[in-house]
Amino acid sequence: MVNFMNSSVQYIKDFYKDNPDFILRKIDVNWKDKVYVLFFESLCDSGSIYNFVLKNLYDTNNFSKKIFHIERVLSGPKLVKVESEEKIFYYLENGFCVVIFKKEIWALEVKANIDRGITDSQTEPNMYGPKDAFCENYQKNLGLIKRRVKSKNLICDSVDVGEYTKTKISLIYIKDKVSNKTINKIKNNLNKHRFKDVVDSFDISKNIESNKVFPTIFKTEKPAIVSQFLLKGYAVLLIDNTPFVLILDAKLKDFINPSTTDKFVIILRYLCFILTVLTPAIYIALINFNQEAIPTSLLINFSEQRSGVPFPAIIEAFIMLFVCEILRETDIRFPSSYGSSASILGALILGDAAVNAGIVSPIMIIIIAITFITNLIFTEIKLVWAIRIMRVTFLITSSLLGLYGLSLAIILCLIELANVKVYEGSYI
Amino acid sequence: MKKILLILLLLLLSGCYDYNELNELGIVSTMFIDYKDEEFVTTLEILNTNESSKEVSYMFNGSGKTIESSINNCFSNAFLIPYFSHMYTVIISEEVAKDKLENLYDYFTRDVDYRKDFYILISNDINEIIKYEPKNKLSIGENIKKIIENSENKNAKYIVNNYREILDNYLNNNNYVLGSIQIDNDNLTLSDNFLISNNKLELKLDEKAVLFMNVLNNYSSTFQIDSKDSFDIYEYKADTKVDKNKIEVSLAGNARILNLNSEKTKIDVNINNIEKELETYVKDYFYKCLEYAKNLNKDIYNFNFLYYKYYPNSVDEDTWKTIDYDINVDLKINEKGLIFDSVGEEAYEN
Repeated sequence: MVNFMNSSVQYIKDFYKDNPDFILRKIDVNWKDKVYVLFFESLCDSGSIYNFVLKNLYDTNNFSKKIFHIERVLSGPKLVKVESEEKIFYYLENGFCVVIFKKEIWALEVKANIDRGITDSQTEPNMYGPKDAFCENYQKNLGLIKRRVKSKNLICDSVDVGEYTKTKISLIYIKDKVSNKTINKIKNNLNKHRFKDVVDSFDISKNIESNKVFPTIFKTEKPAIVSQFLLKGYAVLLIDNTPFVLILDAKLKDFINPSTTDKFVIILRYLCFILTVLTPAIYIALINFNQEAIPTSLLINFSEQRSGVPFPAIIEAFIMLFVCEILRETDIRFPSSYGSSASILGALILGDAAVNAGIVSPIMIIIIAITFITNLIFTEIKLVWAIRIMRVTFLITSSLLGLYGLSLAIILCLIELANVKVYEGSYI
Repeated sequence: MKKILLILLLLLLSGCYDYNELNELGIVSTMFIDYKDEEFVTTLEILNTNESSKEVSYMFNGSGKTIESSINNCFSNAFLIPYFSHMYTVIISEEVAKDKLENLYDYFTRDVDYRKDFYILISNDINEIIKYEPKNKLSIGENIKKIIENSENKNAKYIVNNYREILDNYLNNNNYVLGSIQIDNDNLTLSDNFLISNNKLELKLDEKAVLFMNVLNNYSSTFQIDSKDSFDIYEYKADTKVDKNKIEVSLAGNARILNLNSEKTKIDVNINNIEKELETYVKDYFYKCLEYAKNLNKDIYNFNFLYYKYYPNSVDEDTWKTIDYDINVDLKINEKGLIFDSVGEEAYEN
């Protein structure tokens, strides 16, 4: 037995010799027996280790009490008996303190609080609903959901994925709201993919998403929205170390209108979706092909505004869309501490200088502004991508065939939308 | 892959059919057509879309054996592509109205570039209108369109038909009216109404007959009657019923007193009497309009066509002359004006 302990502990010590945060404590409990306490300083809370492990061991030692059962000395809330040597590594790397005494190996959860805590949502702010958002801590995230859905039917199937990351992912659903068939389909789909390493929820979603263009997995960082979807009969994937929870398989309407029940807001959001996708295409079709559809005074106005512009309207539209995409990307990536210089510069160039220089017409600025303002309502990145693809497709078809081409592209788009596969029901 | 290929083929092989850059279009506002020396002379008013120029519009003219060739000649040296979908009015000379109307309709009906809602007007001096410089910042075509729209809303003295309505009459071999435009005191104004029969300009119509025609067809939303007093008839509906031996014309609606003569402005005036007087006056007025048509010996109200719809086998050329007419007028004066309410009894007593 002594040999086992010595060799085993020695092996672990050698294994982690290049990890300075690995701590191995050897505590003599009598002349013969030793207790080994192993943990990672960076992953564990030293206070918890002292309170739950070391303090008790030293007390026992000082009072010369014999230790017959080590688990009675370890007072932490989550104590797991480790059955095999290989599992020691898993527990150590997951913020557990491993205690080896004689032939018994125990793992006690003493995770350090190394997340940023529950904060307000940055990507989905709202005025009147709950403000809290998920963080990077799996347990806290699960807690935020369970605080809202207090039901014994809330099922949480967990599995660790990734060769190096061993990220915990959980499929959460309410048993009596989702059919077994749907759950089996989701599980089969998840099992089908071998996730190499999972650092972000994106690593999962990019593999299991059924369509390349249109989003089917809704990402949210709001526990309230996750709870709403769970109650509606959706399943969600909770992934450790990411604040974004994946909702499987959301429909197009869920992306356009994820949480509100206000009918005016719902209509407004649908209108914005149509406007952001179609505005440039309709403008190009009208001024290049179907001028008869514009009232005469407006047509003259458009024509006057375009009189000094050297580019055809379609090139002008693409230039403006491209510049706006760059501005949008800059706005997202640029650190906020630098102030709003990028926005001001962009607004000056687009709003005034470009028009004065005769590169673009004022009406094109209005068209692009409508397109991008209505686009700002949608925060889901895959939906924004889908909108971008649809917008460019419609723009190209309308620049080739006018309103006829645009109608053709809309019909093809609807066919494609109807063809998107989801686990239950239809996508549109 | 097949799907993508199909879409690409569809888009790329079809090309940019009907593609026009907006700045390359010559937006035609008005078309003037004259006929001289066995040639059509066409002048087009093109709207100016260049911000730097102060002109509202430009005139391009050309001549040719056909209307099409004269229009082509207008643009033969121009840098613009003619665009007719926003054309408001076509002004034709009396020569065209007398003899070349069928050529005109043939051209407009065959060409798909034209919308069918432009107005056709006659002018006795087309060059005067071409040279006219509007006082506002609108083109001649836009000015004429505004005059027509105002006229439709305010009185029923003029009939200005758009091409769709004219075509309808032309295809049914009906008589119809073309309005005319002239410059009066340096202003564009609608003037006489001409009767077109067998696609030829026949004669100038009396204003009363035009009003009856407007009422009969419910063209105008309101019309004014000036007997000894002035009334405005509104929310009316004229209906024509055809019997084997009789055509019944009925008019029902509301009337508003605009102005009474001095004897009737007294407070004890009986409104029922005024109502009866008005009904009788309108009835007589309509009978006189019928007599006017009989004197002209022209079925200007197209009663024959109406009769034909009901009794196709009994109609002959003189049916409209020989048949009996019954006119019923039912008007309610429901707006008496402020005189009875605010200028009350006390005002007269004092």
